[in-house]
Amino acid sequence: MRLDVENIVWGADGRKILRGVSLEVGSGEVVGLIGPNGSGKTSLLRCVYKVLKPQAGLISLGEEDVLRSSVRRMARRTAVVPQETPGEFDFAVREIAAMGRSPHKGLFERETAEDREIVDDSLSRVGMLPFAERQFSTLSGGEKQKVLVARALAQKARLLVLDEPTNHLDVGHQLEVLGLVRGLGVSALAALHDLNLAALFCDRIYVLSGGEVFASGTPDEVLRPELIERVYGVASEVRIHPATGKPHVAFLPESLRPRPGPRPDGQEGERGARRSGGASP
Amino acid sequence: MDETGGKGEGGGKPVASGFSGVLLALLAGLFASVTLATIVGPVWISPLTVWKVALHEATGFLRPDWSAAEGQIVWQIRFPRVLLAAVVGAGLSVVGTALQAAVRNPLADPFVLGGSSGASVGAVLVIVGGVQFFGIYSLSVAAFVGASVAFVLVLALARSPGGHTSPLRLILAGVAASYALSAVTSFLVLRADDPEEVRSVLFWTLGSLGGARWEYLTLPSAALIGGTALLLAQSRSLNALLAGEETAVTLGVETDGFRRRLLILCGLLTGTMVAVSGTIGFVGLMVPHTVRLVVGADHRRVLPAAALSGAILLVWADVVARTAISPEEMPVGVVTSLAGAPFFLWLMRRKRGAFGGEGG
Repeated sequence: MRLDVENIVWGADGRKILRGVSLEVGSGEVVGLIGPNGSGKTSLLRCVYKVLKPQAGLISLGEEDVLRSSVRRMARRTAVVPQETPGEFDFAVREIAAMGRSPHKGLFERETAEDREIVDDSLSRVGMLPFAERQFSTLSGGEKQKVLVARALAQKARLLVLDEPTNHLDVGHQLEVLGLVRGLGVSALAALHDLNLAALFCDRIYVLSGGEVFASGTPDEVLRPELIERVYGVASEVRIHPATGKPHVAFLPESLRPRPGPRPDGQEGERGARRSGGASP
Repeated sequence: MDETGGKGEGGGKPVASGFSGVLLALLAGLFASVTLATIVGPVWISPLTVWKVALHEATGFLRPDWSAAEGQIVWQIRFPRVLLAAVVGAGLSVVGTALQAAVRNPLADPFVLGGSSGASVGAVLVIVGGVQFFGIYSLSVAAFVGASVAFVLVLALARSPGGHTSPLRLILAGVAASYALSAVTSFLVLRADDPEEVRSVLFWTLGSLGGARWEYLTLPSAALIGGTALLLAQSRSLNALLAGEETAVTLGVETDGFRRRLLILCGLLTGTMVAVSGTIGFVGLMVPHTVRLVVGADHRRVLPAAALSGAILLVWADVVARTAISPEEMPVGVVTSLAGAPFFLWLMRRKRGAFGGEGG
């Protein structure tokens, strides 16, 4: 389902965090949101899933005005894989996944066979059905994340929002979780730290910086050394990887910085191609 | 009705069927506890007589083959008291369960939001201050009003300028209000002339079911049944809230409004229980935790199990309270707290990681 975010403004305590952000996620598209810490990624996602109320702007999902419809109504359309995980109180894995059904259930409505089927199916799609009776707290980080994805699947939503879904995960689980999301065929908006993962799994990428969209486009349009330098202040080389066909970013430590200088000036596009070995004068 | 979910895996406990077993066991336990607790006392009465009297009094069946005194003891003295213990124990446990979810804090109990200290102020005003607006019900009414006022105060204080009511703010406001109200209680007690009054206040604040009569049962029972039904209807939202603030929103719970309604319901229930029993500590804290260890955290199971366990626990605590140093009576709160404190420490040690800090 198509998500349209138009000119979202949000701030707290007199500080503007989002200064008119616009983006769109097409039907079935996986869109990445990258940017340094504090650039507003999480705040933007929170506006989309209605934890924050923007001071200005418009968010629509399909024909629906997200900001005006009820939390419950939106929960049937948007599922979130959040950063937080259940803390002090321990649920069984199946119970966590079954929570995904709650926006669809009335007050006294019992769990039906269909609900149980959906929950089991969601767990098995992420490979966690064998863990269904385990306590959530006994799982590893990657397993927990997969259970939260299963909960989102059980929600049967048309839009999936993920906030750093690969945080704390090892490489194997990172690829697995994102591959899973990719394979679902639903629209997804994911805040990601890892630029290479974003390049691998996203159809398009938005770069946030200082609460504004700095750039957007396909991974190879966006992931360029000069942009990475300006947004993150880090030198890098970007190559199209022969195996994946996607841009691959290699970050360069200060000592390997191609030309010691505070800002790239007027040599757009060149830097990425330059070989780091010959950098020192 | 509940088959264990389709492709159930070997290892785990069969949740659904296991739970009906737990419920049945608890129901049987409650029945046995009520019977035994009615038998025990200065005059022992046979279990058969207990239920024959009950049946006779309730329905008019059976020709009495017991003495009038026995009938009197069972029906007028022990039964109301034992049943009140069951109702109050169940009520406090249900409220404790709901409040732990509402403020998402394992340390929450029915009195975390100032209810007990508010009720105490009300009670002291009656006992020491001699405020008597409602005859013999003055104490109960004053306690209920005190608890409710404290609750409303805490809710208002905890509201941030933006209209949010965060769990942490609630707890902090509750602690602050408790201190202030306890100070008022202490001040009033210190001003009392009659040592007997001081004793009554102390006894009341530690909780007692000694004043039980049939009339005291109606309202708390209705509150217990209605409140538990309402909470059960909301158990999915309670689960979502326990899983996290943002998670709850993304699962369709409008957290601010839901939490406020939840707190008001809990406040009313607490006030009702406190009005007939004083402030009985620890039941509402330890029962929910213990129950979760057995049936898991899902409120559809925790709420009924907590209600039944709390009932059983308080029935027995009250038996100890009235028999341990008989003919004297102990405040039942002393019994629950003496049993509760070690339990609590054990719980803390068991969950070392969780209470330390981040916990996620």
